[in-house]
Amino acid sequence: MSTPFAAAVLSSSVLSGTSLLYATLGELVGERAGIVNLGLEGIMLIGAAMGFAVTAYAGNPYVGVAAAGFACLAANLIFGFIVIERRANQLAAGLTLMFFGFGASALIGRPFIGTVISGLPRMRVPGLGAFDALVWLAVPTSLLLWWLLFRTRWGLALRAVGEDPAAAFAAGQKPDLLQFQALAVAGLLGGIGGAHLSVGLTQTWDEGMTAGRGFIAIALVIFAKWNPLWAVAGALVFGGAEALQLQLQARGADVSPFLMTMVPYVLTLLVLLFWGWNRRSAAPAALGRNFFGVE
Amino acid sequence: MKRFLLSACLLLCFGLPAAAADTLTVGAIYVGTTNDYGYNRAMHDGLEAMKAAVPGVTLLEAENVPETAEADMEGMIQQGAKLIFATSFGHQQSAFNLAKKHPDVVFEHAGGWMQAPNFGNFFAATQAAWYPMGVAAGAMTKSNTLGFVAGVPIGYVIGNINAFALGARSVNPKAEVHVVVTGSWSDKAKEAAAAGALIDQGADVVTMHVDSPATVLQVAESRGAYSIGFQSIEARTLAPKGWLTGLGFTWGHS
Repeated sequence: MSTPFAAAVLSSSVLSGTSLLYATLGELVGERAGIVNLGLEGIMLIGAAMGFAVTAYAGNPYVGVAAAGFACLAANLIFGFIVIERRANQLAAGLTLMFFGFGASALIGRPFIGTVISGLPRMRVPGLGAFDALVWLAVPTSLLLWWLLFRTRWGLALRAVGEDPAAAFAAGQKPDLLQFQALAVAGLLGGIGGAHLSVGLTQTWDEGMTAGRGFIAIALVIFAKWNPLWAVAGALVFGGAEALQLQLQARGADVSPFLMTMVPYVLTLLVLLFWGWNRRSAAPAALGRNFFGVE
Repeated sequence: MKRFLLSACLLLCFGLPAAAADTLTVGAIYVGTTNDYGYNRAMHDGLEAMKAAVPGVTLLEAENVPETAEADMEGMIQQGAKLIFATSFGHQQSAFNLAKKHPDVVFEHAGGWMQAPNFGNFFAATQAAWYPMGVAAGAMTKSNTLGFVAGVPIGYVIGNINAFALGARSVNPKAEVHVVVTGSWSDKAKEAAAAGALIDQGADVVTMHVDSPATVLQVAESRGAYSIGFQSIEARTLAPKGWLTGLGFTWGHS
């Protein structure tokens, strides 16, 4: 009754890589507009808690995921206000958002710990596994984002703001508005990524359940060279590393579990080591800087 | 053990001349949340039973205390706690350090081995219960592969796994236990992936030693595998078809 090893690893990587992919895509859009959001971990946690809570309350997992997306959109807009309107340092504000996310998610999720929900229904692919709607939509979402960023005027304006907001402003664009829009999209996707963990994968909620995935997503944006198509590869690689170590242990491989647990993180470090340097030049030039306008 | 605890509480209640109001403040720290359907819930329920059974007990609790925090326990001592329950294995060193600093406070640690005049340990002989659970698994398995999701590979966990394996082998010499270590007492996403991986690799009976059995049980049930629960008997409602047997803790007087 056991699945062939390669198929098991692939299916497991896709499942665990999906939430990473959504979070990476969200962060990518924000960074393309010049805003780095270190609070992605907090956003994902709010998404997971909100998704679980609303699913438990409403009985419908899709409603839960939508609620998670919108809650995180709102949270990201607050972050946007702090960083765009008030011109706070993005890194500090992001970390603050992360802590806020820890607390807010714990508060939202607390009454629902231990509740049993019926999560996102999965469709079986014979020979591979069963996948829910968010998994099926992950690659189309990255394609859509690629098209939005690189084939539409909106995307062009957004990227211009990320490269040189003064030039964009001079060309008649509104950098503030575009950055808010980018953060809204980022929040929506980050929330969906978080919700997939609680409503899609585990059907439970526990404090801090993202376990660092938000930060992995931030690293994956660099690995992806700020391109949504490469983000798919990155999420698969990281999801695959985690899946591989668990499947190897499950198979009875006689390797220290501590070394195995390190594999995904060591892989991320290696990837950043070998490709991170080249990637630096691919970053949006004004990433992390505040635009003060011409007044 | 329960009798010792009860008499220790009573002794402290009536033996301390400074406790003019005849009250005892008891502090308890948990590594997770108390409504986790598992380990921490069992500890919390036991302490609630103690509070109900012993008059004059005030219970201070702190959840999600990481395994290196002396601050929470120190805070409880400031509030007058004279008996501290450090309920997670990893709290041992911090609790022991504080025991040396506060000789007038009694520390009870779950699952450890360190000893001092005011520091003691308690736990349950879980290995003895895992053996017959292993027998059940060994008898029911058709693939001869048993899956075990372990949180942190400390002594009690390894002992439980070994007892489980010995029990299974006693009725089914071909049974093999595959262990996946998630590295944390409570990482739901990893537990779900680990349980899935064990079933992918052929396990048809899945069990666990993590803080809460809920995730592993749900995954086993959705994949049609048998499951054996640990930490909580109530969790059997999560696996109505696949639950074979299980073990829960009742720390308080029932």
